[in-house]
Amino acid sequence: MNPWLPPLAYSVWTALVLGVAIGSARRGGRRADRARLAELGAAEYAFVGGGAARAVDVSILALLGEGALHLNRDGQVVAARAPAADATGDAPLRILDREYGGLPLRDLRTRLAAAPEIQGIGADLFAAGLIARPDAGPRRLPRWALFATLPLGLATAVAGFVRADDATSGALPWVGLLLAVIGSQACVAGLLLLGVFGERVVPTAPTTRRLIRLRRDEAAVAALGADGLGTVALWGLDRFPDPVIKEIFRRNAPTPAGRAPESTWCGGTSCASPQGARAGSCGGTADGCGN
Amino acid sequence: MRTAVGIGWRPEIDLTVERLAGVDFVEVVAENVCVGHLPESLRVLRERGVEVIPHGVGLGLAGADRPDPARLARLAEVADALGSPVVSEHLAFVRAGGMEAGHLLPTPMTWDALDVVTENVRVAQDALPVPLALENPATLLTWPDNEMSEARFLTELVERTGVRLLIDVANLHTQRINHGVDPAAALAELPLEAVEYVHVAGGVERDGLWHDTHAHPVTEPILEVLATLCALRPPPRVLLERDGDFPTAGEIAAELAAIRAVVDRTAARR
Repeated sequence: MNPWLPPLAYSVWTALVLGVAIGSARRGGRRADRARLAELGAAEYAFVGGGAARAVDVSILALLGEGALHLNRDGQVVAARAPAADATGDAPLRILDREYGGLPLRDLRTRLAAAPEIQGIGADLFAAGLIARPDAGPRRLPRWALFATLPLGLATAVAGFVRADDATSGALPWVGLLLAVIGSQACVAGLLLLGVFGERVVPTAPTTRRLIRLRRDEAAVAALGADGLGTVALWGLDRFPDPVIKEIFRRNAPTPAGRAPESTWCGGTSCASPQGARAGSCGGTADGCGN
Repeated sequence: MRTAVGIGWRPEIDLTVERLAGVDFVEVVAENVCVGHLPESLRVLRERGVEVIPHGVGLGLAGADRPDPARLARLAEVADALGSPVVSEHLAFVRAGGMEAGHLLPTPMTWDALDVVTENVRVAQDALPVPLALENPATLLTWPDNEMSEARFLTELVERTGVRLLIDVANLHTQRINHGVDPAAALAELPLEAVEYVHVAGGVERDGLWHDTHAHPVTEPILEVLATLCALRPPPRVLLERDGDFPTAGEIAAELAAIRAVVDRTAARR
């Protein structure tokens, strides 16, 4: 038997086990409803791609686009009409309706992120398996992945050592076998560590992320809304075509300290978690989507 | 000469105003502008060639006291900083005996009051780098012993001082509802060649009184007063005032378009 076959087989096996394990961890153990993807609106796409923070921005920008809000250069927002009773998109107007003289954009973004309309988007997406709950704790890789790879790796190393010793075929293959197995073990250990300390495992369903990336084309942008809404939903505020509005939003970004503690869904992971808006349950800034 | 159409610039809607089509000039409340740091939006408008007119509310030119030199100096600085062609104020008094009214109070339309206001206007004109325009006020009450009409008072003031006029057609409508003054008769009496610009604003009638709120849509009777004025003599500028309950950008644009339509229609008939 070719002496390279056991380590090669072991490497393939390890890759398969880790692929399945990491995928399971990132989905939070849920199956994604892919059909639901075709029904998502701009705010939902924004939520999947950039969390509650991006959904908030899309919601405000949509109303700005229709002239229902006035945003001034100092970042003050006032409502230009009364909210419709049952319109989800009017959530910013419902908040402003209670505030004489409007609100600073920073406060509106913070309060809107905690509003039932925006939190409801997260809950719906979670129910469809398109995102994982941010407060589900560290996403550990399943233990079976550990048992399916580590002992087998040790066995492969021992077997390779014995075979190479019996064959007295020189030092080089023996060292190569050992390095291959040790390298695989190191990869397993490293990936498990990442899984155990979990914050690098983005809990958005990877299928959802991949499909959204595939949808990042002009047709998708147009379908999701005019005036740059589609680009914000799919890429983030950095792609918004209006530099003045973009700068006002940049200067009036909500601070992590300003986030409502009762919210489940923030820009990133759980609002109460130490990493707050930085990390990415649904695409916070940690994974480059929450800009 | 084509009549310019503009809108009152307010901080809450600065970006909206910047982006409205067909805005030839804007007016700012002079007391709300700091010369040291002009709002970015006004700078953008100025760079675009849009005229900015400071509109004072605190000089109290119809008061018994002479206008405060510090207030006049500040108004002059604002006019300079904005490169304004004219500044405007109200024919009203706002303080007396060291007390601020917080409102634009009506002037007694008497010869004695006219003498006082004439001198106050001259003092102001001497301190300002550009012409001063005075606005006819909207009032809920009048003094019992008036000796002349408001139009006559303003006409006398123009003749004595050469002051320019800012005619508020919504205020003429207010005087019609609240005091039974016919706007057409008032306009016929006024020296319209002295008109620097015109205000148009919305209001609401409650319990038989017209409240010039600047927070309601412009009504058809107010546009009719504007049409009457334009038919007599087209003004150089007409401005839409909106100070609260700001409607959508589309609704503001529609009000500007309605004003433009009145101006153009009457111009075509002449």
